[in-house]
Amino acid sequence: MTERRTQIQIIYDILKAVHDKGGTIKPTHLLYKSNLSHKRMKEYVDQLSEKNMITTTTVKKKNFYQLTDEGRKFLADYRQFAQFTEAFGL
Amino acid sequence: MNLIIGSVTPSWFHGVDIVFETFSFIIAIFIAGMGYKAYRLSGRRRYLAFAGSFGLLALSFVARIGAALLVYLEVLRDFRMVASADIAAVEPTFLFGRFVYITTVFTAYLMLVAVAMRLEDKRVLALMFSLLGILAWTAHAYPSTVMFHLVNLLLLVFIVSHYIANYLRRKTQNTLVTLLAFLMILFESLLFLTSNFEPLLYIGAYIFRLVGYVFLAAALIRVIRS
Repeated sequence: MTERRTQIQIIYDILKAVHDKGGTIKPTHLLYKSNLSHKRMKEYVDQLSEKNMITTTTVKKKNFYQLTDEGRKFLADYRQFAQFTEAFGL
Repeated sequence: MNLIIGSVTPSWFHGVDIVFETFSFIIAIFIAGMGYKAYRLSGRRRYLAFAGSFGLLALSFVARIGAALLVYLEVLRDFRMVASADIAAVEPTFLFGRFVYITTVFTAYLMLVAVAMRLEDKRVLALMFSLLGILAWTAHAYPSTVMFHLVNLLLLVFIVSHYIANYLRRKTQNTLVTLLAFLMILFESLLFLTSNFEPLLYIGAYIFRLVGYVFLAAALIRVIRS
């Protein structure tokens, strides 16, 4: 049985999905990659926008989510956090 | 005073142990800092308790360094024929340092046990820490260090069992390095316990601790570089 993702893991998965797409991703792709319902994904995107980790840009009338420096910093911090958690069995 | 210092420490080791303690202090501070950073990111109290336990270990090293410095400086003065009243004057400070050391080490290890065993029931925790307080006082009042090292050994057995389970669950270099670190610290405690019978084991205990903290430093470097 797989464990439920924590909030911090979901945030990491969202930001990583954006990062893996070169820093910019379409909402439909993010919905697929984040493995969340549309409503939940929207809540997280709003939360991440408030924290300035992603921004929404519009190119040719299409919306994209873009990773910010703050988002990249979170990804780096999370990698350390994950390694720390694993190493010390927390 | 000589009864306190001369029981197990070979004179040539005076001062070297302070270098070992300082190294352990630095590593403990960095781990506490990393734990606090993890708490800030996740908001989980488990990380705060982990950071607190290493913060207390760092404090214990400060108490031990202070007490050891006090003793060694008095030993040096002793050679210069200082009045014994001067030496007696520092004894309460030394004993206070010893008490702080015992209490902080016990509390730190019990916090690590609580984190490892996911103990969250406040009544259970209150009972455990109350019993530990009594044990700390008894260990302090007991002239030999046997009681102190025996309790440490018991707590470390539980901590190491957690790290064995952690390694078996995820067989990575990170989990192996941390397991080895706590195993070395367990051996350190075992050697300290037996050093009452063979003074050379006291040096061995310090070497095991140094190796343990080198492993902890290696684990920390791996985390930082990830």
